[in-house]
Amino acid sequence: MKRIFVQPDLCTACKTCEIQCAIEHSQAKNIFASPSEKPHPMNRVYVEAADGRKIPIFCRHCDEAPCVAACISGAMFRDPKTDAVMCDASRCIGCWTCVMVCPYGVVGRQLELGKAVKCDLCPERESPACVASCPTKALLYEEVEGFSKNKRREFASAVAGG
Amino acid sequence: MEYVIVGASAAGMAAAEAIRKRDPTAEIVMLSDEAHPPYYRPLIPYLIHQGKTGDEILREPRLTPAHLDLRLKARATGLDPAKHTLALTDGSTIAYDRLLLATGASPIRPNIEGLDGPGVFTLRTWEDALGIAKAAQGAKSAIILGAGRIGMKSAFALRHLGLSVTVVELLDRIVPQQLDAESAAIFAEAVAKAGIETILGHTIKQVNRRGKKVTSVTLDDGRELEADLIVVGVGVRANLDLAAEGGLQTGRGLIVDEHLLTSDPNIYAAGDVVETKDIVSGEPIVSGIWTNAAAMGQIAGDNMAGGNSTYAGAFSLLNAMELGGLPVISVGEVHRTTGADIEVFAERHGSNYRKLVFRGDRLIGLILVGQIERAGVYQTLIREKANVSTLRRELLGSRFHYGHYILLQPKKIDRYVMAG
Repeated sequence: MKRIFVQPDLCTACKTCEIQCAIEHSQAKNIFASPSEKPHPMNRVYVEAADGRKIPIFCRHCDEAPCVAACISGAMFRDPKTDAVMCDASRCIGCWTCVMVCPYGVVGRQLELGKAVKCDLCPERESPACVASCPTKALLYEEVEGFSKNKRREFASAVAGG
Repeated sequence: MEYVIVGASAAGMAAAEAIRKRDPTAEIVMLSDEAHPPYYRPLIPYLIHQGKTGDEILREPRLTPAHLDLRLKARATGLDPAKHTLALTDGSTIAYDRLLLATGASPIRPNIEGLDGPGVFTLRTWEDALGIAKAAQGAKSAIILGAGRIGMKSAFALRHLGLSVTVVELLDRIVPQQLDAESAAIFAEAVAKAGIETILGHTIKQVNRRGKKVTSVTLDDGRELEADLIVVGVGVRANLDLAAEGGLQTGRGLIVDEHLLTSDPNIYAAGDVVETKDIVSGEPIVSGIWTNAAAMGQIAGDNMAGGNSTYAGAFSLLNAMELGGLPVISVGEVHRTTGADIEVFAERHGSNYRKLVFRGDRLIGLILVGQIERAGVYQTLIREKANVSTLRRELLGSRFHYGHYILLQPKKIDRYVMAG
């Protein structure tokens, strides 16, 4: 099971991940053509700033995912193969219960379609578009098992410290 | 271990899933008194105007636990906690080791002259929705009693079918539980634009019929309004019959401890039937909200299968919806605007509205209309009773995000970086 790990201390808030995410989730998959598409391609990853620090904010594909538990239409589900939390747009009715319960605030709204949009870990790619395009390697796509606890702790203290 | 779950909606299903997770081979019997396979109850308004077919509201197989022994049209009317048995209306009995009562709630039928009889509906089940759809055929006008969620969803569905629709609400605004005066005013515009009429501050005194057929209603001020059908949406009451039959302790709902265990050590309860405590105020509450029911089911199921999960309580409000193309999210105590330490921040720009209610250093209530992005982060602050004194400025702006939260919750950073 692979997941996206973030190293906030390496993030420069260039927002390349946001742009590449939106392009990957477009029809043309092309930075020149995608922006004029309807419906408008949307990013599902976010880079925010707080207290002078840059913080990439990503879906964690939670073990006990509140969006899956709360979805009133069966749109949110866990992919049995990748364990990723996915939104089946054909079932989504745009009630926004998922927006209300996501503790990370990473379920977006595609207003033209009235559907929820969220990170799907780019199922057609080996590595998600955000990770592949990150110029500073602030984002990593790693097996959860192999990603050592020490390494994670390092990142954690980098965010917390200073 | 034999598990029996009474009820096949949000709480029952979440419990079955939690049991299955801990115990892959356990026998799980689920009883539903309905004829249809488990479905998403909040979607039944779509059946009225055929916005969705029956198949489209059925519970997704991928979200249904494996090897569930589901029994439809199975209504339990007897409960013997000493013998660990349920008695069904068909004369059979079912034995359990662990029982979950997720019997839900039923619509309240107010005491109004002429209300009983054909042409008057409540909306709680698939069959109710089909009944309304059938009555709407050839009908010209509908009266909805109660401007709550069910009332308004019914109103929009019937309006969609071309009926002239009037909503009668005793309180001074629509969706009164979920909206305050300001946000209700925003939605009133959307409702009027959809061609739905609303009469506030009044109720129905009498339903008038010609023979059996509904012809009109008389309001409490004497006004008479034509109606071919009436939908009543004035709230629900917990289904406590089975619990009472088993001698379990009940109040307004079935009383449980923090593990969702009833007064019997082998019987748990979850969902709309439960009386628990309000997560914000600590006061007793019978919730009736899907999201609360799903959360309770998960915890009850886990505990039934040997877990030790505790339930922190239900939100009095935890509702998201879109009405007339406008989204709204309401969480917690949105109506508490006076009292010690209470501070209210409210701001409206066109059809965007933000209201935050603080008590001391805590956020206790939230209404977002229009721009509802990242509402879940606010919801988490309310749920966790977080001290937000240093976040006040960020919270009041519309760009509050998880990054603000995480820097003030150092313990959470580890979990975040560790990928959930």
